[in-house]
Amino acid sequence: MKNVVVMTAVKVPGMEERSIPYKYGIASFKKWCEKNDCELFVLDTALHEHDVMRINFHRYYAFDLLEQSGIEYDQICITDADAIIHPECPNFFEMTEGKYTVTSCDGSFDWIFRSLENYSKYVFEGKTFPFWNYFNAGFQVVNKNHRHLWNELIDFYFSNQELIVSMQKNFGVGTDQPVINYIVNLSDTKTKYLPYEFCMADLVRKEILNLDFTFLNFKGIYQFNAIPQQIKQQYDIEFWMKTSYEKLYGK
Amino acid sequence: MSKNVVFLTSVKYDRFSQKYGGYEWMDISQKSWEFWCESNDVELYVYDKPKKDDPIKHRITWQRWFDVFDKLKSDYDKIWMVDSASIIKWNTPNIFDLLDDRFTAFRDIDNLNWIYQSVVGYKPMFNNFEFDTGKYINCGNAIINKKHQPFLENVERFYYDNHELLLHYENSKVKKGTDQTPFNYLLQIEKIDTNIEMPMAYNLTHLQRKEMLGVNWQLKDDNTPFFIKYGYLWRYNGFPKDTRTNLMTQTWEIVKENYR
Repeated sequence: MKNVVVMTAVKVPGMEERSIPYKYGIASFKKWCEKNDCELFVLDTALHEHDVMRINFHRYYAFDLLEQSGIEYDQICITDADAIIHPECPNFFEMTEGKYTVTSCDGSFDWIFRSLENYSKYVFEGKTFPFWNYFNAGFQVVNKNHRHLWNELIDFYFSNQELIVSMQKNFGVGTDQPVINYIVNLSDTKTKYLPYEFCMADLVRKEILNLDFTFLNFKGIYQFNAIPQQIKQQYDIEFWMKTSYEKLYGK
Repeated sequence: MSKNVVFLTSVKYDRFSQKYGGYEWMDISQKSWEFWCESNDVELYVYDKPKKDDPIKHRITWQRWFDVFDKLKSDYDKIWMVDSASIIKWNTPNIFDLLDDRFTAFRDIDNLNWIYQSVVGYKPMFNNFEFDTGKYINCGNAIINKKHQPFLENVERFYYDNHELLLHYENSKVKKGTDQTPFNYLLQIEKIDTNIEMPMAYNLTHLQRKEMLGVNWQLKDDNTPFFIKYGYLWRYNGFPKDTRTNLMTQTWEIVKENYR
């Protein structure tokens, strides 16, 4: 049985151009998986209409998808297709100790605190958890023992669909991320937090997204998010992903 | 039974007064620590007189590591070394209850470019040692105990053996920090078992960069700034240094009633 990386790379109607650079993310993970004897599974077809369920939630069907595809698996890592992995990124599957493995969110804490508080107030009956446990949903490693949590998330979504959609619309502080955070953190699940390198979000805030590609000196997984518009106008996501890929893996 | 100690670096040099916009911020910091230590049966040692007087030649950031064991004469258990650009929240849970006897500090990932440049810059001084940036710590907030005295003696030895070279790196060649990066190299070279997994609430740095100064403008039901609500130790770095008094005074005006 192999460990499997599951990526969501669906062209969302009306947002097709977002998926243009996904090919670089997929190619990087394909090579990393070959090197580390893992399998890559790319979900490129939506399971629900966009107005029924945002694409971010689809990854929580990973257990079903792998089984339906006849893929035997040990651990599953879900990650974003707009991410590039460094070829020498350590094998995170070997670091999990069988626990639900994630990285802490580290970026705009104004956003994180609002996400924590708004979902606490309107969705999770005032319950909360320590902010330093709020994790980035763009990198999660699980095994069969955690399947019930993802089932719970999907059930919770459909039981509270209207509320969750309105939260997304009215507050803009996350789609699946706050929900899976509350489900995991309010349970007694044993978690493991890996260093920032395994989900390097908000590279601009860390001052390493530059034309020297300083971030590539950190052997991790690069998330090309939270990039200010004035940078993207000159250097769009495709530029950063294509150039990163070529620097790391060749043309 | 021996006590735990907070070793608060709080040295006022007249020559730097303008640079720091005065030193009232140190007094604010001290008031918060006095209250917290009293509440938690912890001894407070205010480190205000380093052994060497010349702060240009011998930075206080270096000297604190060399002086700490000499200054603490009485018996003690663990030592929380923290700089006074900090305010401890009045009801912060006792950090000493969470610790084992490892060297404890906090990973620094605020400005990774600065850290990367600093690590690369100092690399030749350490025979191109393969430094793990994933374990780079901030030196302004660390907890040690007697077990670490030999290590700090080695740091001191290294410092005096390489003093001129260190000054050259610090002031001309690298210009990225004082003790922090060399200290980090020595920590890894000597394989000091380091705990970097304490909750980040005990080390809120770069409050502005992290956007922690604001309030929940969507719920509008609580005007408490996020860093006060969620943090335990507020550190005033990553700002222009001459604004420190102003920022710490503003915080103190909000919270001071809790320290009575």
